[in-house]
Amino acid sequence: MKNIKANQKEKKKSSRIIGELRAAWAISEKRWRISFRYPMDLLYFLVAPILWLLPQLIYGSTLLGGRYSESLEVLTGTNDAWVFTSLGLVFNMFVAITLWSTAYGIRREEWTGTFEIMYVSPISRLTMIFGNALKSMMHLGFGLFIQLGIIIYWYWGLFTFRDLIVALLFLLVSIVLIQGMAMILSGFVLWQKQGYRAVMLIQMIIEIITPVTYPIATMPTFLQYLSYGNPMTYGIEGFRNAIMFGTDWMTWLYLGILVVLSILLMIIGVKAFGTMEKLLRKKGTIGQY
Amino acid sequence: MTAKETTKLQSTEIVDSQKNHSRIRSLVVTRLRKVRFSITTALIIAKKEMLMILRYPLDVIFWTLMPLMWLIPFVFQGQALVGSELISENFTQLTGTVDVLEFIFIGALLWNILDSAIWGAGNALRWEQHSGTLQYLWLAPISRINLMIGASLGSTIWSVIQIAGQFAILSIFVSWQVTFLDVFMTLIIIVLVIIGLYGFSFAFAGVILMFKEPGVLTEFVDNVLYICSPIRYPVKVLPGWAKWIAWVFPFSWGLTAIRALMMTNDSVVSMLYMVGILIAIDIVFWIGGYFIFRLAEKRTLKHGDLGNF
Repeated sequence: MKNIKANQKEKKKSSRIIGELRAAWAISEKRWRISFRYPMDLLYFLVAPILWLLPQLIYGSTLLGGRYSESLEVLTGTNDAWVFTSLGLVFNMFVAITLWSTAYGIRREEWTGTFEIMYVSPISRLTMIFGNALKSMMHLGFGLFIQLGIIIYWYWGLFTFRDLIVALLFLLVSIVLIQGMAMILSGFVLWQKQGYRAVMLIQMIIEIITPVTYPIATMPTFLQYLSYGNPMTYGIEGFRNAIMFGTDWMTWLYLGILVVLSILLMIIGVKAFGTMEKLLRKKGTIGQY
Repeated sequence: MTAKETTKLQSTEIVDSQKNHSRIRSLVVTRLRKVRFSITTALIIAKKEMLMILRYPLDVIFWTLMPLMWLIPFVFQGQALVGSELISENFTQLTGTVDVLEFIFIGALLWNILDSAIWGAGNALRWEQHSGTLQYLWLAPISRINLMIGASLGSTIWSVIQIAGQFAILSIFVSWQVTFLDVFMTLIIIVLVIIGLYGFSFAFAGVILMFKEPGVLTEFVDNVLYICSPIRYPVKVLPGWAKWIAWVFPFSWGLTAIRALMMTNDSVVSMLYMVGILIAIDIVFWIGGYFIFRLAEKRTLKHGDLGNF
């Protein structure tokens, strides 16, 4: 009897997880259908990753008169400014744009008048956010592959296949990181409604303390301290180092720190979103525009 | 011809010429009234735009500070590539100045003008549609071009506020060494750039009127112009196709001229040459922008999709 009950419980649990995953897929599919209604939108995100890389690359080349920098070599161990800058930008764009798009998923539902319907459906809030993130990640994934393709062409023969896989592992873990950060920002958007200013400001501050196109050593000391507390730092440094210098114990250490911080941020995100939701339900302002 | 007939003819001629005079006078008066009416309309629309901007004072502070924050990664990147002093031989050879910071600061300041022409005036009609007021404005007995001039004027005031705020903040880090003549010439060039960009805004608003969903189009144009404009680097370093885009836009000429004035002290002749080109581009942009807008307006009315969302 006990066994049957435990079995049933287990089955219920696994069917719930499958149900949540199916719901996330349904949300992502719905967003894909909307995107297909605007083919220009889809096309733009195929070209955009290249457009986003160019200003920093041209600016760097203008200062250097080419691709290689002695100063960068002293600071980081590599003189290839193009690959160094591009790898940082690729990781940062994937996280930042997915985050932005996911955080505004709820607001988008409000605009289209489907928020309440979605909200009363029997799915977890985490699934709701994850469904949005899934679509954004899939969409941006195409651009990411184009960007990585260009970088691999530049750096061909200077890294192994294993290093590339390890670098992609950093991107995989960053999905958990995005989910945690998106939960926090979604809660904020739910509260502030038109809170894009604050979201942009937070994103900008994170970007400044993240070594995207420059090493940590370039920042002023107080920013360096903040940078070490920023999970994005470990993501970008690990991702870039794996491709540029190969995998060593430091890479695995960075991956470990990224995993721990991502899980921590995910727990904080779920809690923060739940608290915000409770507060707004009490106030009765969830449905307000 | 008798004397009586001559007098009659003369008096008829006088009456005719008086009639002609009064006709011309009434025509001039009507035209002047129309011009006055157009100016009033544009000013009212600009006032409306300003009232909406001032309803969100945090926006003013936010958009003054945000572009400055976007500069920080470029400064750190530069320091990582060429050292903390930010001195680059190649950059000096290309631009004629050693001051990288001042170069990118001027670019960032003036980018506000182009950015607000794209996002503000270019998208003005779409914002009206979003707030449900486009149809009212469309039915008003005013010229649609005046509507666009008003919206552009509003955007200009908005960017002037931003530039003034940013200039004040950047002055903490840069000591601008300019004379009264430099400031005067800079203002003339900025006005010419703004006038040219009005034409661009008309064309862009027309395109958005036809394609409706402006997000991607605006992002695309914004990104392409950002890459092709000499904001962080001179036009010389761009590939051939990008150079063409840069030199077609009044913004690139204006920015190059202002940098020449404030940083490299170019000769008056080269300055006048750039001002001449700017005036020519302004005329082409206005004519082109006017016709594209009119074409889009006609097409929208013909297809009956003005109200379509």
